Amino acid sequence: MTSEANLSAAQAPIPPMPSPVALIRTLGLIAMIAGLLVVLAYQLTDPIIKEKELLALEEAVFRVIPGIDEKTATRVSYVLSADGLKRLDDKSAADANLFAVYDSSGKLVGLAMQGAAQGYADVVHTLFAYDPKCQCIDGLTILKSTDTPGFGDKKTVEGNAKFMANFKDLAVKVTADKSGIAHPVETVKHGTKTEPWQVDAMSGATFSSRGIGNGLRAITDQLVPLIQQHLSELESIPKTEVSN
Amino acid sequence: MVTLPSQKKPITLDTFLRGVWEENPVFVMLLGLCPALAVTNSAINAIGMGGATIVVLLGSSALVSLLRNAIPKQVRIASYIVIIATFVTIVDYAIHALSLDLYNALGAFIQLIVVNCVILGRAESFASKHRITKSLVNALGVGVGFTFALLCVGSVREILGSGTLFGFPLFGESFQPWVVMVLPPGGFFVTGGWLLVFAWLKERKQRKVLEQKEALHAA
Repeated sequence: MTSEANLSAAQAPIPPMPSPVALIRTLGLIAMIAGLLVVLAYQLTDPIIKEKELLALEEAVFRVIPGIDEKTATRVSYVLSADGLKRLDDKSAADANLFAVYDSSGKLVGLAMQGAAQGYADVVHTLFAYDPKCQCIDGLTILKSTDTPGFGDKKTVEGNAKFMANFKDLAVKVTADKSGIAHPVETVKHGTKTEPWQVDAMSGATFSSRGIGNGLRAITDQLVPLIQQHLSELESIPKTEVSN
Repeated sequence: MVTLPSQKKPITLDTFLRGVWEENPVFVMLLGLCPALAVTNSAINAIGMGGATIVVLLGSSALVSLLRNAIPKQVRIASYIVIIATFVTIVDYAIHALSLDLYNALGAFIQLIVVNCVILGRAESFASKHRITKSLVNALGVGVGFTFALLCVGSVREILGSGTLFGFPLFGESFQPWVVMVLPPGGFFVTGGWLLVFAWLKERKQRKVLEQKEALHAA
């Protein structure tokens, strides 16, 4: 019975090979459906994603700068470069490299800047609070980190009171001519911090600590001298038109 | 097109339950182990990944089933991969829009659902041979089974590794978390433990069936 079935299967006509045009047509049809669905999903979700990212950034800015009354405070986004200080509107806030928070009277409460550097698993994205009066870093929050859970992830880093204490009054003073940082931020091995510009690494998470420290060093080297040069413009809330 | 006898079978509860228990993709078939090990360091992550996989399974199974007579077998794998990648991209956007925290926690593993063999396996072995309703029921069963497995692994890892479940603390402040459990080795330990449990349950069931047969024979 089985051999008969095998024989009839062997004698069954082999279906003809479809023409190359038919194969291309099928793949083209599927690619078209795929393209339509992907573009539709992108169009629907993109505004929501941008809004959520902006809200998350705003929350992080308010969280990292100490002594803010969130109900009355105003956040302003800037692009600060050698070309000068440029205010951005909320839609373009993702392109900003400096955030300033003003109180209800329009007086500067604090500044925040984003850092990013290679950690252990990937780039660690951070946000630092900068106090221009004491010329020091006054807070840290982790925006994104995929480093090892329990060692270098957001929850562990932000829960490590000893490490977070590094980012209170961390000295980033500028030189007399305001052209650079007198002592750039330096990450040192756990328990060997001796200077006020040094970051004492976390025990067991040296790469994550270096990622955070290097991100801070890069952004302070770039922005802090410029902030000090443009401090008078930053001290009160700007009344000028925003640029896109 | 030749109709196989299995294609004529009506949809029963078994069509759904087979993927959940008897053919559980992780604990029985040992498929999709990469996300099962990588993102299950918390119960929330496990549910997020499971939910994303269910949506991709349902979408890809529906489209593959609808187009099954139009896709020549010579280009079927290429077609299935394009269909699966489409739904993974949609889920990627959707998770990003719904929760930034979950999106950041799952990281690249959302995009890697494309290469999860559970989904391609369903498209090739089931959706391409059955009607849409049956394919959807089967895909849902497999998706729920996959989520169940991820949740089993994720819950144990979170309880032991962080002392919490769904973020709620279970033990007092004196609890010392067993950090290795939220690290990659913990994924292997816990998955291995669950595989032992499932193997023991299977063996016990087989032994009972054998004992019943022997008792009937003796009677």
